[in-house]
Amino acid sequence: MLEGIRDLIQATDVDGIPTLLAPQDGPMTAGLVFRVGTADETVATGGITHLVEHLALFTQNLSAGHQNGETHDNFTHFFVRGTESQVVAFLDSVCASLRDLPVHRAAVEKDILRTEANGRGFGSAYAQRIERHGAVGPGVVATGELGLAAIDTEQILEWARTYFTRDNVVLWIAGDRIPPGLRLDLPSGARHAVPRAAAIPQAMPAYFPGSQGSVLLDAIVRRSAAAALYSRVLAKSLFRALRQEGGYSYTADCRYEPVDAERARITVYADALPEQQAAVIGGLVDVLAALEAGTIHAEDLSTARTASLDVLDVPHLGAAMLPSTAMDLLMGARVVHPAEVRREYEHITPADLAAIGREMKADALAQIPEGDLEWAGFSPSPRWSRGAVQGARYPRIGDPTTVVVIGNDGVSQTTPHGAATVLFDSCVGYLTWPDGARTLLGADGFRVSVEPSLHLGMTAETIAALDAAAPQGAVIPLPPRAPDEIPQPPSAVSIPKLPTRPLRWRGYGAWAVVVGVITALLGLVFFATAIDLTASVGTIDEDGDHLTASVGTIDEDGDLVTPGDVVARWTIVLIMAGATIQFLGGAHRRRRWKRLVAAGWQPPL
Amino acid sequence: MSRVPEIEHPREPSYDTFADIPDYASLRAAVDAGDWRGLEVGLDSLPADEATYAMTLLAEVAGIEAVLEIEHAAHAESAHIATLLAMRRTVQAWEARTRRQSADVEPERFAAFLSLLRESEIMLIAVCGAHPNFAPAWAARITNARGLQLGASEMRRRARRHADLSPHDLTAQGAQLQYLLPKWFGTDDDAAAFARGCAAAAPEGSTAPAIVAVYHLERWLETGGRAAGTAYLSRPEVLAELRASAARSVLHVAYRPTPLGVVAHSAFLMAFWLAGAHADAAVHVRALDGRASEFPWRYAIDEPSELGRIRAEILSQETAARR
Repeated sequence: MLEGIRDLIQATDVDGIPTLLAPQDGPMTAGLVFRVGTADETVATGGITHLVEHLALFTQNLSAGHQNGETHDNFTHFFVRGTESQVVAFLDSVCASLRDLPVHRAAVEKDILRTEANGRGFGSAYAQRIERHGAVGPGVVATGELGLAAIDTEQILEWARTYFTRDNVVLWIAGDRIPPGLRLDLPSGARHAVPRAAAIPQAMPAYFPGSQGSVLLDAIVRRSAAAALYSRVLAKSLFRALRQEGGYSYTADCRYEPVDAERARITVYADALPEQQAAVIGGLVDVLAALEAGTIHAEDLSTARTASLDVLDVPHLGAAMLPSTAMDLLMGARVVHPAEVRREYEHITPADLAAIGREMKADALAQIPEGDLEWAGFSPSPRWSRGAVQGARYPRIGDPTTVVVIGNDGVSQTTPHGAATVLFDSCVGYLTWPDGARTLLGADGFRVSVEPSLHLGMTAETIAALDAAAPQGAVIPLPPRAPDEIPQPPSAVSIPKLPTRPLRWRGYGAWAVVVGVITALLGLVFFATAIDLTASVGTIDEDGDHLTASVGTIDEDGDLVTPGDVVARWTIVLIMAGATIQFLGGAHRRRRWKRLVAAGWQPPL
Repeated sequence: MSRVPEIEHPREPSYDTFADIPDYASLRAAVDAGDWRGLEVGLDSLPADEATYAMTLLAEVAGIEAVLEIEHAAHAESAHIATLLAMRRTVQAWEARTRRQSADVEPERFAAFLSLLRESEIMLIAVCGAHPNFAPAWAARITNARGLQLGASEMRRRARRHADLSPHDLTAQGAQLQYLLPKWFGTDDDAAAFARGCAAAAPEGSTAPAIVAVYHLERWLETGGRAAGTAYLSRPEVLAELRASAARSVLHVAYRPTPLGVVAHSAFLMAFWLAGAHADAAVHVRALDGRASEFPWRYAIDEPSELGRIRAEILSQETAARR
């Protein structure tokens, strides 16, 4: 594999670990490259590689040498510059740490990483990763190391045992020789191939709305000198069109980076000066169209080609190639001699670049700050999941058109515009808070938040049942939220008390109020007469007649008022009272029913 | 007292179309014969602004899309054919939408409008990519920017790319003016400043200063026409500006009559006529000698047949005023 470049780089080994050596002036530099990165993680283990890197560096003797570590998508890099003994000490120390990770330090390092992550923020590059890949592989880095909250000591050690081994690493040294006394004592393991970065299937090219002030576009193409040159030409053309000639952008650039042995990601970025967003979008479309058609300014092509060739012209080319050769070796990519690369660059024609342009367009995902891109042939990237689950419905208080649905298969949040759904089968992150809130992250990048304080009918039991259904391996317990971080329903909405027993009867309509008032009035009238009647039973009239109550009395009209009459009268009063209660009560029940339904309560069938 | 002299007009009042403009005889012959390469040569022999105008008129020929689609499929590399087909799609788009206010257009018509405009735009993007110096494609994209509701900075970017290739182009500047009107996406200040800037920058004898007449006609339209419109157009400062623009443009000694000149003359004529400035109008009537363009006449009249009466009225008023 490395025979072809042995005039530049010597391939050897140290303790059986593949080592690349190339001469360089000045202090020695060395790098230990492991084939593991954020793209190997899941959301639930997000940050674990970075954590291991930090732990491996913790026991550093901070001698005068210059040293550092970096975690990328596919590689974790430890490098050092200094005297031979400083290099030996550093590499020895890193290996010692990796053999026996200072896991007691994990909590502190997690805090440090969390602080770093908070400072980073979620930029358009992260949005691009999620949109293209979802919350897996290259998209994991965009979820912000959430996994740190869940990762335990055993997982950290397991990760180190799996990936930070002698079989998954390459050492490179820029210097005259392998420094004497260098040992690389790492445990055995296996070589781990780069996981193939999959994209969420959708019609391409596609676009989606992004934040204000800039345009981003990327595509994954086949690795080649032509693709690398295309990126440089695109950068120059974009700069010329958007900044120099147009004055629409301050920054307009393009980057090319390998993602695995065969493929590379080309990323285009341009910012927009105030009021120029639309022109930046249109300008980008036209620059891409020009390259696709092979319309390339001769000057752009020659300066790009010269820049590419200049890279191959440096005095210690072998040393300059060391890090990328180490990575290519670990990726299983073909290592090409710079002379062959030079020949390729010299022979690339506008037609070759046009072919790359077409390949790029076919896989392009654009992030734009305004409008749509359908006029340029881009399809809208779906903003909503294809469907929603069926299950128990929890409308939002104050907005019953937004509903969280918890079903057997997963959770959805439905709105009049569409639904976001995460199925348990493809839930890669299940975030939990002590206050009961939950957020589910799906492999396709969609997420659903469940906030019990905002939804009618959501109880501790609801959340417990959800917890039982969620995939245990994806659980990420997060620290308590401050009270003002917990969302509250809008204060203008009064939350009706839910019935504790099933409320089945919905009462009577407004007519019942009318009838109830009538029966009430009648009842009062009868009540008055009943009192009167009762009072007249068993009295002595002015004539001195006294009649026994058992027979009856003679009222002022001379009629006999029997006890039966009195009982009958009181019965009518009771009937009227009962009717009034029934009708007015029924009307009140209807009002309550309506309030509950308006708040989103579901009446039993 | 003598009779009002009869002015003989050899032809029936009608609008200029691709089918009847005398200057386009050879272009017509090429189209009729299916000689598309000949058409391209003919268009390339015209000044850029006249070529674009000729293409927009050809794109208005009903049914022309059929032959254009066939030719485009056979010769995808031809910028002229692709641009003609794209322009035709844009015409079809506006026919689907009708010229009503947005709020009055049914959703299905609007969907058809956008779909056809997108077809047009995708073809034009490819033409501009392969032939970045082909002015008619950029001109067509200025109009598309309005229909597709692209931002002002994008419309200006296209207009700038076009102006670099063909400055003082009445068709392209007219498209830009439409975007800048309050009825579309601009303000009156934007529109006025733009029109005046075009007129001031144009060389003497150019048709471009007629954009000032178009601007004032758009303002007339905004007032609702009739009495309020006449009051606006007959303001001394408006008339002065119209006269100055006409004097630099189609009334200038350097002016050479072209099909685009008919549009320019028509704009001045209509503005003076609506203002009641018959003496000024009469100059343009005589210069036009019976020719007229649909734009901007369609703002004021329903049928070109009314032009005969209008001309007669203008000339008789002029004669009366002279006595």
